[in-house]
Amino acid sequence: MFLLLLADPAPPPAVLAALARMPTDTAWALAADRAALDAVVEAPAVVLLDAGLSWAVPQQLLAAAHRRFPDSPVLLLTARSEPELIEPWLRAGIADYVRLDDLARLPHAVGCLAAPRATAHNLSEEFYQMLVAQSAEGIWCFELDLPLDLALPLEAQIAHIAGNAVLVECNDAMARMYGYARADELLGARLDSMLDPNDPRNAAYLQAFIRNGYRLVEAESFEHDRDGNERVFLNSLVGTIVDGRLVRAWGTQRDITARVRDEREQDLRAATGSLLAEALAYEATINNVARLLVPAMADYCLIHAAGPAGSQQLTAVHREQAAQQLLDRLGALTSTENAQPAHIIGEVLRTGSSLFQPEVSLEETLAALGEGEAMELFRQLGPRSYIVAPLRARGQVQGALTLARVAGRPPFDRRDLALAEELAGRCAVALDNATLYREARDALQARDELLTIASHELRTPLTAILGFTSVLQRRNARNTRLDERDAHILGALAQQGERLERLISMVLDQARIAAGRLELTREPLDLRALLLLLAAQLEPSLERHQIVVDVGEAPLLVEGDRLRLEQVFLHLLLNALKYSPRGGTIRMTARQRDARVEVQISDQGIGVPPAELSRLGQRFFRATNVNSHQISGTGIGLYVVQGILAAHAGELRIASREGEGTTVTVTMPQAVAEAST
Amino acid sequence: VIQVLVVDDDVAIREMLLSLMEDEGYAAVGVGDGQEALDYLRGADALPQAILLDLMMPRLDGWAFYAAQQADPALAAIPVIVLSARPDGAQQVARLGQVQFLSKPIDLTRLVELLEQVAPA
Repeated sequence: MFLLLLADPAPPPAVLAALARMPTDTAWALAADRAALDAVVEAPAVVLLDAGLSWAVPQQLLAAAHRRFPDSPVLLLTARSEPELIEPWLRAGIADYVRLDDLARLPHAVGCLAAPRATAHNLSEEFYQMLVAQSAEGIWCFELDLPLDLALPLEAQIAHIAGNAVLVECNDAMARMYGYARADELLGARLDSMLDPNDPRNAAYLQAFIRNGYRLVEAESFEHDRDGNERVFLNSLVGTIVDGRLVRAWGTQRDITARVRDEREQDLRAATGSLLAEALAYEATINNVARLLVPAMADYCLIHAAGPAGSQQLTAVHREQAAQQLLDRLGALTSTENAQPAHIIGEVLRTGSSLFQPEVSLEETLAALGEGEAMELFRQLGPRSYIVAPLRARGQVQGALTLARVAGRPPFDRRDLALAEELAGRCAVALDNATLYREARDALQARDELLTIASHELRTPLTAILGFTSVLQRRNARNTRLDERDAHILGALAQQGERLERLISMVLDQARIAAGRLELTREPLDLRALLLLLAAQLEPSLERHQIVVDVGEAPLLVEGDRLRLEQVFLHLLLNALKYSPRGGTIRMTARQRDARVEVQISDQGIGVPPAELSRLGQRFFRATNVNSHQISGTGIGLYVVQGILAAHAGELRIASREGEGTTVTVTMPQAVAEAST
Repeated sequence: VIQVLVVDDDVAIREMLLSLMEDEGYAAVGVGDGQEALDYLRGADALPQAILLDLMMPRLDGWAFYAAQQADPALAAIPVIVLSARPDGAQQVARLGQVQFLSKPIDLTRLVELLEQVAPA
């Protein structure tokens, strides 16, 4: 094979190295100017043109090469391959190009350009035809009625190709992809009858062909067969350019419709799956699912829930805004009348099996509908193919999923039915979960309300008990009438009553926090003073414990509810006492750290099993080791403490070693002291 | 002698409060709801110097009683101390206006202090 390299002044070393690696039967000559070109006698198989640094010189060389060897294709060697740089070269008549950083491709590119000649020389026409006929891939050639001027704007080029391309050659494999038996049935078809150039996906396909220098590898086109079913093809194609105009394109195509459908269905499953997985607010979720299915699978979608009085429409989504209103109106009508489509849906709800109508005769349906507004709306919606699939969960039909397609879209098939049933099943589970969740939430709310009422009812007798106790104590203080033991009993009555009151308060507080109704009266206050006061109050009652306080000398200002914060730290101190039944030191420290106040309370008590640390503070949770130490409690205290702290933008951290003790750390934002003047 | 009207539907609480009033040297009368309280006040020879008022009561509750009392020029000036076990008692009372509030169970020392404030001897 003889190659001619045109380079001015000298070819890049990389090109020479690449030529050296060409097959051994390759001979080549170098020409740097027209004189040298004209001196070449043998027509080269391929002319290699070094784009060099300038535009004008290689352009002149290219023109000269075309004149001298009109049958020799020209391969451009260029450092850059941006479409806008390559396009003028294509218009000037190069057959292909290779980038200088991609010279490994040179042997292949040269081989391709030289091949048609080799085919013509070495393969019989008959053998070549047989190869094409036997190929499982579609092989085709479109010719343009009017060659395309490559200088036109992009949009105009797309329109020109779509409007002028005619299928002039193809094999039987290609014809079968469109539902025909033989190539001659398809030949003569125009490109715009096979694919819709206004479909953005096809516009992107043609655009890529143009921008990529009139060639494309493995690009998808979305076409339809003779029955109107959508087919997806994977195309590889290359254009032929003569005198700066695109005249035809050769290509191959593979039918990937099934694969694309698989992928789409998988995507749909994944998308609905993730939507439904978090479906606790199910009205919104059901709506989102409907929006996912339209237009991916249907032109409109209805989801109904089965209710005691029939079906209730949860959502209705149409792909077109105008038709959405029809659908909404129809939904409003059929919720009161037992008309279509409520009638059809009712049947699915009753029988629990799907209704599959691939081809609906609108006339028959309308006749069955009778007169009225519903019928008119139905006629305007114009369903041509529909599926109603039951939403079934826990063996019960919970509702129905309706998918419909209108004219202009292929009808549903069995596979669509299977997918619809699967998606309906998933919707049903989500719907069911949402119902269970709502019931559970309502039960929790009822419990909290019950606690509030019960607490009030508990407080009334306690008020009398504590009041009478207090009256007696006051009388005894005024003139001693009770001996010391009776006075002690009276004290114990008061103490236990107060303990009961604290428990009631805590139960109330937790209900309030759980319902988000904790109210605070905020004021600037000195946490240091508050902690010292609490420690001093506890001091007299300590028997086996001592409290060591280290709160510094300076005030620790925070903004908060005094009574609530007293409650928090009193509770934490009482916990420290309670969970160290054998006594020991309770250490309470407080300091300023960054812009927060940090309080730590540590004990030498029973500690918390490591696995349970993270669950402390959950409502009604108690660590398991409290039982062996026989320490009673409700599992509410820390929940309340956390709730109060959270309302103060505070945090609670607990560190513990079982059997050694627990350290509780509270941090709260520091209040900015008001500037005193 | 300073007179106090105790309005509470719970017999035990009423009795307890009356005991306390007696011990502290007040002349106290107890009634079981807001309507009884209004009837008593409108028929009384001498008006009390303070009213201890429960909120949640049958017939006429504490709020309705307070509204009626405020609407009656003869009664409006009598100071009211609200005693309630309602968890949101403090907030409820803040809406009523110029009244004192003590939560139930009642801190009796605090109640005696408050009485001395609103109805000084």
